[in-house]
Amino acid sequence: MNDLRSQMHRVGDAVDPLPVDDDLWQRGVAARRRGQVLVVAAVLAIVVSVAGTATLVGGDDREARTASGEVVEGGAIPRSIVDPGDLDPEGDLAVGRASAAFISQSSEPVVITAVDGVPHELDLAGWVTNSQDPDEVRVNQSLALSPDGARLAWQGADDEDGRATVGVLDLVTGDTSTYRPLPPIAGLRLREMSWSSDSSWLAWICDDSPEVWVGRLRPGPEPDSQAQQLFGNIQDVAVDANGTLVFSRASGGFERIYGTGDVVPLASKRELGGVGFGIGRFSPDGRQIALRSSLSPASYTYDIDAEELLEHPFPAGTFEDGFVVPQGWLDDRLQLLLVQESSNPDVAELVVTTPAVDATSTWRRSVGVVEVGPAATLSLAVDLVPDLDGTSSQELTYDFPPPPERDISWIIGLGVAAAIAVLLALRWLWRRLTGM
Amino acid sequence: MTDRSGFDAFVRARGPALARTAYLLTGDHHLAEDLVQAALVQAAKHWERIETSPEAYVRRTMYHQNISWWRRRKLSETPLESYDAPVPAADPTVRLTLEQALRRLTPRQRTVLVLRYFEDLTEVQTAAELGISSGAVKSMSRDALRRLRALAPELADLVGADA
Repeated sequence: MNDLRSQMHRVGDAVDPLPVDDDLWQRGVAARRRGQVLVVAAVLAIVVSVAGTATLVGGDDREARTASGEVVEGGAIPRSIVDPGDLDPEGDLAVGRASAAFISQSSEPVVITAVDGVPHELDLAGWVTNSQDPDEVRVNQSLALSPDGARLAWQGADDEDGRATVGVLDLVTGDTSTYRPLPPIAGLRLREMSWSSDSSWLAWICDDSPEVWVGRLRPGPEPDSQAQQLFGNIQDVAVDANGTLVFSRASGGFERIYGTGDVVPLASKRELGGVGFGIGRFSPDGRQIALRSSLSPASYTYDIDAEELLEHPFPAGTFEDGFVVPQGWLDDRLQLLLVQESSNPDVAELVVTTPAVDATSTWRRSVGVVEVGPAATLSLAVDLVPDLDGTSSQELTYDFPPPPERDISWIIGLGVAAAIAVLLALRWLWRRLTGM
Repeated sequence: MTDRSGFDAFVRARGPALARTAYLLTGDHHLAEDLVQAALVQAAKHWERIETSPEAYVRRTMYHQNISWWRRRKLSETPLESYDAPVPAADPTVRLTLEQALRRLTPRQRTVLVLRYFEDLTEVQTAAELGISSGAVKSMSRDALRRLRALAPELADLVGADA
């Protein structure tokens, strides 16, 4: 081995001196500065990544969903209303004025805010969705948005006596009020509620088989209410701006309930052409009632003063037939209807029309479309629909952009950059500690 | 003495010795020059920390860079077709010198031999310089010598028959 050692030294000693560049020092200094810059950049990348992630995680999800910034001054009804799927329930109920309300497929109360078209699932007190719960047999069926979009009514939790209550939420302030307009009978369940055209009165109906209770409630600082026990198969009820209730019987005919509790016939089945109609919505002046109708080729309105059934056939080339559910009135002449054509059962269309055909009548379809799920329990803030008098440039409904998907590509990019920065920093640290 | 002048003085004083080691490590003048300069740039970069003992740092840098993958990638490797085939000793025109035989070892084997027989480091010191175990040094050293004997049987006297 000594020979190998001496031979290697002989080989080494024979090596000519190697040239050394003059700029080695400058190159080393430059490399040192690059390393320092790299470390600073790595630290900055990590700080930005952590701060950005914290901001996103802690941020209000509602802000992300309205990131498009698309808002309509004063609000509008969305041109398309669909079931939003699973949403996170919101405990902060001050979501602002709403344009639509319905019960979702998961049986949760949903409102669509008017200015941005964003759906919100509200965590309403006493709302029950699970009928399988042995301690709770009720499932909320009633959810009613006022025509001005400011208030939402639903059946709240029973009070300590087991008496049903009605909750009314001010969507602007988030304040909730609880009322007890129903009779002191345990177990009463509201079947349906609807507001008067001026958003002052609330009509309700509930079953207490074999009887039916209908009533009215004027929520507010000085609430007023009335309940009336009826017999027979009562279909629907509506209330006008004066608090007058009108209900329809399945056997046909309408009856009116005055504030005194007197119940008087309004229209017989014979006067209605032998056809069974349901009560829809009063016109603002209380003179007409837009009617619910089963499958038919027209929409119908009952003129109270004229004691006359008005008919507006679907124009040729539109619907062959359809189920009509009135949503309200734009004014004393125009009504907003939800029409579901029998040949297209998956969606319903919003239609603006007049009660009858005359020289100035209107019939406009495709104002909006509503998925069949939300359509079953839909109530709309019809006051948000602009008049057709030419004074507004706004469309009848508004095509809000879909909620944007959260763009996480930049987060991924930052994460990768941060990971690279960490690795580089570790490598730099390792080389500094080991001297390599 | 400023950093710059200290560095220049170090290069002038120890450059030839570093060049000898680099040549034995690489077996090529150009690669040796490249290896020395890369190690000196690293030394300049970290001069503030190593100026009290720069040579140990530069040598260690050369050892590691010589066997590191990104440095090997830049080297022009010897074709492997006859890598382990002994050259017939009867042909004097291809008779291998020690230099040529070293060149046919792997960078890691060559580095171990340079540290053990040129730098006169013990197995433990060699292991510490390369960051590997003493057993690995012993194993690589034995394999390197065996390969030298296989490549050039006429060098058997140099490398020892029992190694």
